[in-house]
Amino acid sequence: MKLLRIYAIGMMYAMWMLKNKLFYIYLTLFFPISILIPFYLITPEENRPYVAIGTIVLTLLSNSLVTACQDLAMDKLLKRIAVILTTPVTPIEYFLGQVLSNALQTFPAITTIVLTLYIVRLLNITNIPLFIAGLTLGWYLATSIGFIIAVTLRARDYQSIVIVSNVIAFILVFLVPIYYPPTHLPGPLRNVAIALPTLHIANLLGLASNVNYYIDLTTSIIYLAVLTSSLTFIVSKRIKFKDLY
Amino acid sequence: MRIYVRDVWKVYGGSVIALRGVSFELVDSRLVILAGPNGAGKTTLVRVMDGELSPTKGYVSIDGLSPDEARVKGLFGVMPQEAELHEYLTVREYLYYLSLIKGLSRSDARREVNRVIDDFMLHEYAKRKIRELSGGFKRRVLLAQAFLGTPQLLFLDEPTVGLDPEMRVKLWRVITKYLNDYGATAILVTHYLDEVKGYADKVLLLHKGKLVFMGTPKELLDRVGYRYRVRIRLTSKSEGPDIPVTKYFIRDSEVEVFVHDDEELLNLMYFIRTIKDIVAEVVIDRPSLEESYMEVLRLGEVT
Repeated sequence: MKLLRIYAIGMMYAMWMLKNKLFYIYLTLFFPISILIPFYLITPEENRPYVAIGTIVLTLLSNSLVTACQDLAMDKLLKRIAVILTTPVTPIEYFLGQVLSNALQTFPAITTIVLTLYIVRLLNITNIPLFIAGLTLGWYLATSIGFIIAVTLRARDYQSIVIVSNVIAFILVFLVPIYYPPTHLPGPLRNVAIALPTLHIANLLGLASNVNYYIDLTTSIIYLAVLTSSLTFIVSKRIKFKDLY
Repeated sequence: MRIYVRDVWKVYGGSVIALRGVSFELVDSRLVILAGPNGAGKTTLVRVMDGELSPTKGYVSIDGLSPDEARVKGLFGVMPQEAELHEYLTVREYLYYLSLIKGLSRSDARREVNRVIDDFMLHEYAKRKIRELSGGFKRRVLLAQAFLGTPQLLFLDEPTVGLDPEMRVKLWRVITKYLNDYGATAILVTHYLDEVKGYADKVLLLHKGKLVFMGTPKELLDRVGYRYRVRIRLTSKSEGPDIPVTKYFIRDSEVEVFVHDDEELLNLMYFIRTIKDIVAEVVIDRPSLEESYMEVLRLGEVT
């Protein structure tokens, strides 16, 4: 595995956003704050810290998953992937490049939200390493899910890939209790929510900032370790960079 | 370099047969032309050879290894038939990142980018964003990237489409100079056969997914059945002289003669001297590769 290759892929895909200042401002300022404010206003005071974590998770997971999926879909549609496929780049290198690209693209948005929440005293991070671990795992998992969806859906149809990625992002973010405590969900739905990675990422961020999702740290760590290993195995050993378009 | 293609079939979606048992071997070739009508399977064959597509049946090996092997891919330089570029990057950024992706170090990448920018005359556009370039310049950038990292095996799919004739001539020179300087091999898909016939050492013709001809440009030219075509314009409309060759046509005041060899041509010239009073103009030309190609397709020959 070549780090320079991963760096180059990351820069190549992040550059469109980094050079597109208007869209960058939209993503880093307008998008997160436009979600945060209405949610903040309609949420009872005792649940407002959940809104803070929920907004971070939404920005992190939704953007990373959809972007990873759409990047490969766009590569296939525009046949840019042909140039990449004929180099010695491996699927795991391409994927890690996408993780880096997503981190570069969403890091300012996350920083903006975290700082804003900290200033308005909605977020009180007491365990910074755990918070950073939660963010990093979020980037990694969302990108790997997006990447696997895009590779699995071999159809050239860009629209269908975009639709599927958005539906999955919606399920992972809005059907999971991250904007409110899981105790608000009826029992069976709570069990479904616990099976999804979103809640465990929110749990890590919550545990790092005194927001209680009622799941212990060990459970989340085991869950995320198993999921991360499985997805990494799929990306590195099961995905072939062939017959993609 | 030995490229071995053995009984390669490619079927899309279970019903569209793009390649039908293509087999050939190339050993230490320099420039190989891959030609054929639209839909003949040229691009599919290239994509199977460069490892983008799996053949439905058969196999490809490059120096005994599968094109999927990383060290084989490290030898490749590929210009796809149609591929967009990363439009937000400048030409230099795009080439630099691709060099790193191909496995070069930072310093080698910078040196390679400078080399291809020089070779492909991209100096004044190096700092421009790709989206600001015309279609022709984008094609040049796409072609230039294939030469990053001094590849030993180039797959160039219609590299000069959309370029003006002057630039096409310049680029053929660049490509052939590179092949000679670095001892590399290029598989070139093109419809402009006559532009490259002087450089090519092999021609492969595909038709409806089958390889219908493989040989040197000269062997392809021989397939057309004559070596020279002599057009004799007569001063007046007449029945025409009794030409001493086996194949000729008379149309109005013009006689079109197909000559098989040099001796026959000399005899014809002597004969023309004897009838010079009724001859207004004589034009001698050789058959083009395109004509030979049409002839091979017409005959539907199978090697």
